[in-house]
Amino acid sequence: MVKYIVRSNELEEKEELIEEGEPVVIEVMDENMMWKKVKARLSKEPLEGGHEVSILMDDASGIQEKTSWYMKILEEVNE
Amino acid sequence: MDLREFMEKLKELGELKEIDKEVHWRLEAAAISTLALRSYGVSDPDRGAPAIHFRKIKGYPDGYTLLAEPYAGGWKKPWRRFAIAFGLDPNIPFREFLGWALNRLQSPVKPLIVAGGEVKEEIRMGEEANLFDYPWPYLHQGDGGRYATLDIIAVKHPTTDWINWSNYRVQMYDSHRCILNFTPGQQTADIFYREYEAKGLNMPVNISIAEPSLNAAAAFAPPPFVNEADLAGGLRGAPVELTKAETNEIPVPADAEHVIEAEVLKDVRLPEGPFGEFIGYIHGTHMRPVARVLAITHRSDPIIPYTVEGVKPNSSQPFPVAWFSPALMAGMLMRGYPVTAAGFHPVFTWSNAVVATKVPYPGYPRDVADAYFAFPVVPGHIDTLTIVDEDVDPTDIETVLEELALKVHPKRDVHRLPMGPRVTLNVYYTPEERKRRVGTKTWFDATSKRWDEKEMGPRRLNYEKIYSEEIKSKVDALADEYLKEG
Repeated sequence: MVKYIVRSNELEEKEELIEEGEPVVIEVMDENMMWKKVKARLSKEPLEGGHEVSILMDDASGIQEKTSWYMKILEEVNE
Repeated sequence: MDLREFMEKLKELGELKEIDKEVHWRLEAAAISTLALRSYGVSDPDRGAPAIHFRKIKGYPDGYTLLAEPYAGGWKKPWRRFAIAFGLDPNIPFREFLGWALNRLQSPVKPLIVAGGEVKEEIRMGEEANLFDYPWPYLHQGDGGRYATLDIIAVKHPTTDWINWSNYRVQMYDSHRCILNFTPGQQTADIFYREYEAKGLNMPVNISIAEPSLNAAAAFAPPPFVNEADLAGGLRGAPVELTKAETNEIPVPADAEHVIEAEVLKDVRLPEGPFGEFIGYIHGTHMRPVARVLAITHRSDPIIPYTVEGVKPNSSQPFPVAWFSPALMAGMLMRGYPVTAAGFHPVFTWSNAVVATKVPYPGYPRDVADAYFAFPVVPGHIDTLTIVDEDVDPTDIETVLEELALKVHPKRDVHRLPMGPRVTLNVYYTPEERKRRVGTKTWFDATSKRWDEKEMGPRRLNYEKIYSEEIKSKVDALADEYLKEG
């Protein structure tokens, strides 16, 4: 079980910033299966101090999980 | 009987297992119960898998426990566990159960308001009321969170005394917020959308984990302005005891295991799901209303029941059979249709309705189908309806299939009604159809058509019809001698 799960549509929305290596504010589901907003750096390569994440595919036809992303949380964002 | 008395009864009957080994709320408990459903579903189709009480949950205090599939029963008799809960013969035939339910639901009993109750053994207010302090299970790999699946959602109509109960799954989003899967067109959802949010108001809501009669009444679909608490009293034959909530004017079940008091926030939506849906597939997210938690009250050792939606024969499958059926039956009889039994295809109750009826005039089955699909419950969930003769048990799948095979003309007896379904989760809908919520309904006329066997043939073949009394008396004696079992 991976430590964090993120939504595919959020990754798509923030694709440009992620590709530039910029941190993004994103919702993640943690090991407790609780959602929280975090500022994080994401990459397809392993990140030092980071974790592998699963992707929640939330299009209308169903969901899949895959693990080709890594994330390092920089801080939690209070709503 | 409260949930604990119901569990005792199941235990006496050998239909409750207790597991003291620690299990994880994340998938492990759900996987064990799913496996039990699958294996017992085959080996014991009448009784089904035992309910499982997981008494040690990883990461949670002793006494905070999970109860898997309390209402599952066997796929052939999905009403069985409710029969047990109401002190009936567990093997009661469907038509007798239906008659009992109809009778009880037409004899409502007002609730009793009492001071306190077991649900007040622990009271947590405001920031102390943390949803994740309780072992809500994570049910399917790929779900968007942890869920309550066997609950009672209570809301109050803002300008009348109507307190509406319903069953909606609840996704625990974060410590103090949960998401309610309010589908427009259903009573509770529409009270929120039309009576609160449209007027710029938040809506108070209480989410209770309680006993079988409350789950049953919440699933029943009466007309608007009928209080389901009165129906639960009718089912029990005694008033439901309710007690004052901490933060709103909607009373809560005094002997509930757990109650979340919250307010549904106007103009706030969060992605609900993905979730392993009752139609047997995991679906993506929907933007749905969000409730902010204000208080949690519970017994000191709360039991949280759950069903793994989408796998059979689980605790969700009995609800249409046991509780939509009497609602439909009552509605049809009130409108003068000579229906003898409303029911559902027991293999998959959420998609296929079956109704048995007398056929008083040619063309009558079309009237039945029109009336059936005009009810609030059926079009929401059901895409196919099979109309059978009055003597057929709608839950006897073998007979229903035989009737379909023998009596449905492939052209004349298969009909479609163009209609937009409220629930478009069935896997055969395209993403576009789901988005637009359009589709169709199909009904099969499996009733006997009027024909004179002597003139028109053919004659139905069965033992009773095709052999004379003389032959039958001879072979009955032979059969007694040679064909007896054992």
